[in-house]
Amino acid sequence: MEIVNSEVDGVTVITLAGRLDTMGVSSIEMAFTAMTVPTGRAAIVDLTGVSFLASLGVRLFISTARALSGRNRELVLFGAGPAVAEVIETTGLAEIVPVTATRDEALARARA
Amino acid sequence: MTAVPGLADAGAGARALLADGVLDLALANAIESIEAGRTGLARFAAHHVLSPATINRLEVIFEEVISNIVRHGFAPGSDQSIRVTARREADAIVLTFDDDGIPFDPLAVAPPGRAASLAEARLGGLGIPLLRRYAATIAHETRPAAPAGDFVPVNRLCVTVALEP
Repeated sequence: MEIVNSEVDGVTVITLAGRLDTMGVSSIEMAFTAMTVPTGRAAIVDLTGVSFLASLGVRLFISTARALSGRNRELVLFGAGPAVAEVIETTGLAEIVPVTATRDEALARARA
Repeated sequence: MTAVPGLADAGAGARALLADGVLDLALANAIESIEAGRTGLARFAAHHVLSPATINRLEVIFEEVISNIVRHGFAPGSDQSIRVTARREADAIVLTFDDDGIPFDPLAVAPPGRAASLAEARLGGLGIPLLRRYAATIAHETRPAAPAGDFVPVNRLCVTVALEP
């Protein structure tokens, strides 16, 4: 599991690649939290390179989004392929965390 | 019978056999078993030339069921084991999960309500809607415990997954 962190116009951009399964989540969750929660910035997460998502990854997104919302910032997900998008929809994640198709839409939402 | 390559290093107690297209996994009661078992599942999927959509469903179900058994099915530190089989039928894959831990019937759990907000969202139970969505059928049975000794499953979860194009 790879995780890359950058910043665009005051928004944290996290790019994930690999399998967000139990092993994958345990390998990136500390870095993911450290890159997002303490910054005070909104964050967008590029899921284009994520080939697998299960409940532990969904849980990581919910807990991070909740921590950011305490600072009045949003976590926005984008770029999910069909398999990952189905998990996002099935678990109800899409109803509580903004999900967009493209990076530009995610940036616009995060800046709003 | 051929042992599935790559499993020898996958974790203590792990064993995978693929014979006549039927996968037979013996897994330790440890979170590393998910990765060990996935190697065997990948071989099974390749043998049957399953579609990416079917493989994803099998992997999601496998991950959710095994992680649930490992996290909640046994007392901490116990060294019980889990047995998983997968076989192909005409229009579905049949998975069985046997363990001798604490019974858990996913059908007995009410589907969690959809959270209306982040503040209301639950962090647990997220695997249940995935299991219900991806499985065509789910059956759970618990039998009386057998005397200690050889592995005798007490709980069996049987899940069928439709073959996706």
